[in-house]
Amino acid sequence: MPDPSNKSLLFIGMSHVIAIRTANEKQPRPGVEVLRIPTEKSVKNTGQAYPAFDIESGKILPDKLGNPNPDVVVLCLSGNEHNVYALFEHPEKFALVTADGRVDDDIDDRTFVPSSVFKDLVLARRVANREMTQDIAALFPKAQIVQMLPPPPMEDGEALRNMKDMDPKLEEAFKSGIGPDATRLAAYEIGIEVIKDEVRAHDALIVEPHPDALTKAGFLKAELCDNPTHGNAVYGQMMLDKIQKEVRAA
Amino acid sequence: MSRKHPYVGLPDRQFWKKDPGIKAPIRFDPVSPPPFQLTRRDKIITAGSCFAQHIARVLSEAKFTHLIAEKPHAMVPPDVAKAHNYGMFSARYGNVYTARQLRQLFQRAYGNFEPKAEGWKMPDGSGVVDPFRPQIQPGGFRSQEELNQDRKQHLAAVRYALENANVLVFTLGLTECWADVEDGAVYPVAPGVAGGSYDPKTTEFKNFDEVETYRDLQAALAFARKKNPKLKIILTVSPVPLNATFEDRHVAVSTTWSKAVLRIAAEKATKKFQNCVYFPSYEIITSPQTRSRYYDEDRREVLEEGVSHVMELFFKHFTNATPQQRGASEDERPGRRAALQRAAAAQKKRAQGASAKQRAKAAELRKARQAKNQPAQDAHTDKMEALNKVLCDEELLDNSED
Repeated sequence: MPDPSNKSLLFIGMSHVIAIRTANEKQPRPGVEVLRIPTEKSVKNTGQAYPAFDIESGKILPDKLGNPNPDVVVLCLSGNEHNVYALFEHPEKFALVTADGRVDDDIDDRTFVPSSVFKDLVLARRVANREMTQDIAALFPKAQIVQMLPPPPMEDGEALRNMKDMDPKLEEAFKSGIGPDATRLAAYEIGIEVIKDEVRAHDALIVEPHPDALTKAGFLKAELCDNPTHGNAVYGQMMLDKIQKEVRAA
Repeated sequence: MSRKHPYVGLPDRQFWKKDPGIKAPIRFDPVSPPPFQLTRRDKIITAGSCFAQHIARVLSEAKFTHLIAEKPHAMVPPDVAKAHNYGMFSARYGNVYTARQLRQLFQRAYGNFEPKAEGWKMPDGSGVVDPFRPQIQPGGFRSQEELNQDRKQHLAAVRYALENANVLVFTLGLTECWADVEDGAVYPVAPGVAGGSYDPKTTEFKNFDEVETYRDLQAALAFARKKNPKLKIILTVSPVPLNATFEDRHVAVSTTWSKAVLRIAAEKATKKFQNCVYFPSYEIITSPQTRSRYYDEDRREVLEEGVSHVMELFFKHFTNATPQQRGASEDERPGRRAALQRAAAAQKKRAQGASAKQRAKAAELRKARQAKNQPAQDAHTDKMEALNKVLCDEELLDNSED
């Protein structure tokens, strides 16, 4: 029997909504729909149809959705900018301060990058996301906007290192070494700040990663990772629970 | 053989009425033959007031070696680097207005002076700014610890620049400044302007006279020469008038006093140090020959046309290179540049007259271009972006070779 207090949820995002979609496929919940925005390459390679998204114009087609008038639109657009810069060591090793401004490690052999410089790097990468957020809010004017924050990175350790065999490109990247934990987490936190700024104008409810999914230091637990940069279906399940609960409470 | 009077036979440049600039401003050339020449191989460091930014920029544009010791990290694209003031000067010290500020910058770089001032709180309380370069970091620093870390890197870059340069170009800008009452550390702007708050108990106004200014300049240059004995020095005085004065008099009167002091200090330094020359950018912009034409509508900022005149003479005398030889295009020559500026202004005026529909269309196109914009990035970031796409795309993730 569906819970009438559950609002209909439309998740819109790129790779981070896959965990939600997979979780919902395993254990479907009424009123939950996931629109994953595909890349052109992936459409070309798979021939898979994305009826609710026009790849040419980059526009969402609400009429092609299961529910064109969802109560809630949950955004999770991109969100891996921190991994592009910080997951693997750059040839010019760099360091950031932690979110609360501490210098965590011995960073004398690294180029120090001020947080606000890094923030502008992330901002520059998210220009299209900012635009898309505005477009989505305009497409669903009656829906409440929720921002699901992307998961934090994995802690450096055996579990992460064992993922190198997933793809030859990944194996190659591992040779440069994994970035220092403190800097990777700081890069993530800065990315989160940018995302929060992005949705502030839309009065969005921000949903943080599930606390039970995180290690003491704030990384995503290894058993909840699908690959070095994404949560798996179990994580998706946890986030789905959390989002529904917070939406109900809001 | 005796002369009729001592001026007989002196060069034309020593006589006002013989200056070609009286008839043709563009031909005004008050530069005396310098004691040394520059080549593109010379590593030039720049510091000074806001006019020094123009000198630094044109040197870089003309492919001279403007030594940038404090570079952004390789992953930072040029527009972000520029917004955070990398490359404006040889290190991220921002504007160095007074000779005292230059002297203390060198002392701080070598640990000879450790001011007690901590970071100034940002106006919105979100972080701190460096009191010695409060506008260098848009967004400020998250904490004192972050400021300290960045400052450590910055001062190392100052040392590197000083020890590895062949030429120092320093533009003296101001005599007025604000100083810590306890240790005398001087700030480029008053506390409260770009962070912190003004407290007369801890900060005092200073207006250095010609004796103090020369003493500071002499000490700064002697310090630089000690670290780098072969360093050639070019001194200039900024033609940009004071924005504000704390003295109880008209700002124009404070400006002449200040510029006179700076000019005297610069002149005295050229007498004191070998291979130290004064370059008259101040005179090029302010002399009657150029008829104030190089000032913008605010009668303060120097127009690009003026910068162009100054730099043409700089290159002419220090490099003996024509615009073509120094790689500048025809468009960069002073007259041509002015014509281009006029054309741009006319275009702007026309655009203002465009219909709302046309403006909306232009805005839409701009927005579309912006939405597609990806930051220019280095090869490693390109590689990481490609890898990230693989990890983000379930269909692409596999363990095959292709």
